[in-house]
Amino acid sequence: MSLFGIKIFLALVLPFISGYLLFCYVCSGIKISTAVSLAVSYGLGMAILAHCMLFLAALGIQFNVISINLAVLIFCLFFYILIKNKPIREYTYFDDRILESNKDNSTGLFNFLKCIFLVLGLLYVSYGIFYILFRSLTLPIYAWDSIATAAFNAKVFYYERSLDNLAYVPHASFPLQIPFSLTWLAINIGQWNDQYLKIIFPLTFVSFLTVFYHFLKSYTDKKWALLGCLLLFSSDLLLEHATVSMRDLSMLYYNCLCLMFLLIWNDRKQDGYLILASLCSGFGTFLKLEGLAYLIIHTILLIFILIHKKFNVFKEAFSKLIKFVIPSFGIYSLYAGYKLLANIGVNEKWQFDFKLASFARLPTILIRFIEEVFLTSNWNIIWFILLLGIIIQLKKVRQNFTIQILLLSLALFFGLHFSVALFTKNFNDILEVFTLSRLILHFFPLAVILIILLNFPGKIQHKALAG
Amino acid sequence: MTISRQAPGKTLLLEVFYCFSIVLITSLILLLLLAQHLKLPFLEIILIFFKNLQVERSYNSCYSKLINDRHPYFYLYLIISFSSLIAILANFRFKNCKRKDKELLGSYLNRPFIIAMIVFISTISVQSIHNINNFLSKDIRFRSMSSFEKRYFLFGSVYAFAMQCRRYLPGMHVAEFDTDLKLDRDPGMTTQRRLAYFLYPIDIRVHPPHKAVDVHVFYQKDNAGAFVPEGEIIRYKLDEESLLSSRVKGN
Repeated sequence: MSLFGIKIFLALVLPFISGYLLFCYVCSGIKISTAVSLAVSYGLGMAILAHCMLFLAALGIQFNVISINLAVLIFCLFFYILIKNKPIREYTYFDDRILESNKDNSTGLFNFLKCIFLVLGLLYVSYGIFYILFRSLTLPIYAWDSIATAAFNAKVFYYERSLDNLAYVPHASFPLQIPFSLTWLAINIGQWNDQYLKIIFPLTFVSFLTVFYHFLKSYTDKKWALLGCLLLFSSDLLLEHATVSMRDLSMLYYNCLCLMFLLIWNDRKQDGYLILASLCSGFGTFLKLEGLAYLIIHTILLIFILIHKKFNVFKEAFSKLIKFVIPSFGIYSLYAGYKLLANIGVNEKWQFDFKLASFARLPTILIRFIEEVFLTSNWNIIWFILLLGIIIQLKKVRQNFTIQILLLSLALFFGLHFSVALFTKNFNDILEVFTLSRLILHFFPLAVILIILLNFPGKIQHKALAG
Repeated sequence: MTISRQAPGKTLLLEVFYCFSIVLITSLILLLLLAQHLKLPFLEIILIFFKNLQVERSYNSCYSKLINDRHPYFYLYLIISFSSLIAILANFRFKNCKRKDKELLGSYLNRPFIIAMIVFISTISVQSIHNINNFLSKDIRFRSMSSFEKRYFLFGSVYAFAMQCRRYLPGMHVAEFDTDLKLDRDPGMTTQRRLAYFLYPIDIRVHPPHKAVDVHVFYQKDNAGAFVPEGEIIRYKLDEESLLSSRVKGN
């Protein structure tokens, strides 16, 4: 076990460094806390690794420790040189005390109860993390989808060391980040041991949690950020997905990180965040086919923000849009281009079926969505608390642009899946018990963020992720 | 009575106790009504309610047992809704509604969140007890199992058969798979996917056209031995229905 541990650690180091260098390049001049930097670097690094493997496959080079490490190393060197030669800008240090925390007039009993709440909250979150780590590292891959597609394809790539037979593997058009990550770890440990390969999933979850906590803390305070984590951990489906080897958790990671960075960019106006959002959105397209639809939603949200900001010069707004669109769609085009060249269908899932008769499905779909959101055990009572919050805090909704963006994004995500159910032949697929829940999982944390922002009694203002 | 960040802790504490008592009373009334409706003793309905709040986790969809054909969360929503209404309107006078009263009403709008949090924390506390119990009774046993035992526990004979096939026929092979199971529906579909995963690099699923079939895998095929092609010998036989055959000059 310890030898496997060392090998896995070593396998993750170089991708992680590449992610960190990319992060440093994009965010030069922005002070961001170490924890957030590390958490984002992990996600960027895994995506870079997967794209390096795609690049090698396109060149017909076999997968092995040397070839992959070399490709990642070249990437690292490239960004290292870029960072080194980048003119040193004036660093912008943000004052964490922009919003001074209010003086505590609390009584002794209140402080005592607050302490108990904090301790219990921390215990609850710690137990959740322990549970995730234990289950993911104790159980082998057992989820049906993984065995049928992602892990199976990864195993094929591991034995064949190439993408030569990609056209013949099941669901060949599905993006490859998760299979590539599994293949990479298997190559490093020298065998297909699906118990240890699963390490990438709890790491993704912990990375997401780190960014999520700091994001909430930067808008509110530590107590409310902890409450956010508590709400997040109450979702049984999310916890379960952090322990099985499916793509949905990683989709959640990139999708929600993109939105968080967009929100921060909206408040802090530093383009580093915009490019980070763009990268996350682009990398999301290499995880699941839905990634492209989410990328379009992210672009719509950006346009909404740009219109709201009322830029005096159109050129300036356009340049922001370009800064988002080029990296994200550029990343998407890599695998889409590869699939076109390799004669693999770009998207095997969505077959549009526009018919007037489709509207007859509307009530069924609506009921299914309501059932899924409110009357399953997947999300605890989070969506109901959000609904209550929106009704009660209508004034805040009207006044706060950050909340409006989040609500719009939720509407777009629900709208997307609703439309897919309505206008495509995937009607039955989408409405199945397990499909809809997984789709909602991709943006579920937005509900928690909204609950916290809606009910936080202070002024919602971003304070930088430096804390 | 404004509940805000500036508010002294004492006020907030009083608000929490106030909301808590409303939640308690509302819950008791609701459970009493439910007990009457279902003609069950009051204590039993409380026990059922707590028990059915427990969630069985699954990566497909988590589920809880229903109460009177409704999800237990439905009752929590009722508790939150009624408690919130009571908490907001309890101190509000509708007659002679003055500006001051309206402001007071506005300040009570934080109460639903406090109520929702009370219900939420109570719910996750009950669920945590079940989750920890589940963890200690089910998940922890995997720790002491060997790699083979874990997979055998999860996948049963499919895994054992695949491992034996790979033991008797190492290396990469392209195999034809034959079974009496219906592969377009469960349990056949799941069995085939699992078998394909565990058998690989004996490939029963990818089948690139440029690679010739050199192995036959029979699983749950009646009288499988009779279907072994000429020129192939049986490499491994689990029973009369499941076996692996390959060419004589194979590996």
